[in-house]
Amino acid sequence: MNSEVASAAAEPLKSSAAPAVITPTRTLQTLVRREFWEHPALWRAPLIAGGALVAVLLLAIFTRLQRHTVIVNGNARVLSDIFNVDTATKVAAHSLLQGAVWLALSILAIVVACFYLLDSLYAERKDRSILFWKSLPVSDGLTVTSKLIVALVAVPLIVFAMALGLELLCFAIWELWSLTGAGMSVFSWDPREWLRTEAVIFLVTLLAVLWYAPVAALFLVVSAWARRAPVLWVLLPLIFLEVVEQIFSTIVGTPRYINHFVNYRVGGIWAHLGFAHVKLFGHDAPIHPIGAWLGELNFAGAFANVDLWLGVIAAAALAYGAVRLRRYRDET
Amino acid sequence: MTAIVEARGLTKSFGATRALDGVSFTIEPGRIVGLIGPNGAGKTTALKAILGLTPFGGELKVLGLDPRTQRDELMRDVCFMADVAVLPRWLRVSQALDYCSGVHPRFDRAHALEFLSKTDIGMNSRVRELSKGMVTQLHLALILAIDARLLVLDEPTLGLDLLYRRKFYDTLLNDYFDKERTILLTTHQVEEVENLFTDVIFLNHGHVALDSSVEDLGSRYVQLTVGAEQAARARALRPFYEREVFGRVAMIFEGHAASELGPFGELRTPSIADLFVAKMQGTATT
Repeated sequence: MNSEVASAAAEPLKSSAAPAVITPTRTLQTLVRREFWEHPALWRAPLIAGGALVAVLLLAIFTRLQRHTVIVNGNARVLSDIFNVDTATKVAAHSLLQGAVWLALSILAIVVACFYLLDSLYAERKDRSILFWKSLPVSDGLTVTSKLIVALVAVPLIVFAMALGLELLCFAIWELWSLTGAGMSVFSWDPREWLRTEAVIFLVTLLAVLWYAPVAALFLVVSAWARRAPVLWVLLPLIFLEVVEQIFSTIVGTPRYINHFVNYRVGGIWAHLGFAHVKLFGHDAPIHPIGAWLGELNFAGAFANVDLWLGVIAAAALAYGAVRLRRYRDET
Repeated sequence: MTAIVEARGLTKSFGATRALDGVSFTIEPGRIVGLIGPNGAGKTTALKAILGLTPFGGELKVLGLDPRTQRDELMRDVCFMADVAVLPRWLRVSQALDYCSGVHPRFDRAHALEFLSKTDIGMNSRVRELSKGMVTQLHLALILAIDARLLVLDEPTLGLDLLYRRKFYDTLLNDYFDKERTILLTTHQVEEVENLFTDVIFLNHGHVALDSSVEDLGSRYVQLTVGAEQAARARALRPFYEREVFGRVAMIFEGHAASELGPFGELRTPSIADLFVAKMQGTATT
């Protein structure tokens, strides 16, 4: 009866600790950690891909790649003869390795990040765990921000750092192999070129993050809104609109605005950057070093592009939409 | 002392259904309030309004704050547990502790660990590997470690066996409740927890059917059990509910003195469960 309540209340096990101070920064750190607990694929996928790359490299070494023959202009030639190149080419080959490793990990990370974003505000509603997350003093704004930080800051940084480490590892393995006398010397270390290549990779990453931010925020909106299958809610309306527009365009001859817009938002920034005008395999040298793009690409123009910053504003607006949706979407 | 929850004319509709139709009540500090009602009575909607999880009409202050606009501030002092285990299945026990420590200023990790050490829950286990009872224990450990002023529990023991249910409420009373804390609880298993409540609020079809402290129930309501031969005379005093038990008739009266009813038969204070059934089913039977 109530007397039980009274006696129980007489000796409560009260918390003795004073309330800890939790700054928004600490909350955000915890939220970002939480995302990686739930979605370990965000770091595991690039790690596994990197491991696979090293495995392929080791396999090439152990199967004595240098003795393999290939047919060039109708003549059988041993690989080690073909790769007997000058230092400049070896330096350029090294920059190619840097770029290739980063690109491979990036493509994988983009796919993982897209699924992550579409899932992040949907899964918590589906399994009703949103009721647990919302029982703690974490605002919807911080929650949505943490997911954008993961996709647009943490993952690109992880990929950049992993690619850098992986490239150095591959280079070291290859060099050690060459030093034994059995291998082929293909890459050469030039600190300046190496740094210039990393700078290009970093700037391209930064540009991609800013350009694709509205896409990431749109995915969060769909994730917060869709009652089921957020992946389809992203793809189907787009496919539907494109098909309808295509039909009208074919029959009536109307311009294809949607198609152009989508194409522009996917690849437009790379046209602004001038990717069409740089080369990787040149006429004057077998391989053109990526570091040289630093002067050849129009980074200043791309970063100053109005559409880039309009996109960032759109991303902020869409993120705010996702916050509002999460705040009041009630289906639990 | 200021009220913990003050609701005036809460309204909320889902299409044509009025889940809350002008609900008003006040919850004072240091009480354990049972929010009781049949399915669809508006209990969960009322809790969601208090927790700022759903938009609604009317006036509502929780700890002096408006849940619609001050939810983030409110959640520092309010804790809740929804009807069935809602802990995400991928979460590890250690991660749950890390997370709460990282976001809640009033979370006491040592307290949670102490509670968990009395259970079979391993720190590395994921929620999906735990039984339903264990998941509830884990959730309870997290909640008990939060020094909140208001704890809201929506059917917290649904689907648990009797042993876990008993342990749950014992822990809540012995390790958590004190004069500065307030618990608001909904449950279907009224009989099991009615000794726990200091106050009850009955909801039916979006209206408050009863709002009283448990102490006051005894002076407001009387259950009279009479033989069939006395039934007609007792009925003349207009009970608002009656039912037949083994050939005798149990009637529940409101606002009658015990001295008035005593001569007819046995008197007692109706249990909350009896009163609930009476309020939900019975208008005066004639």
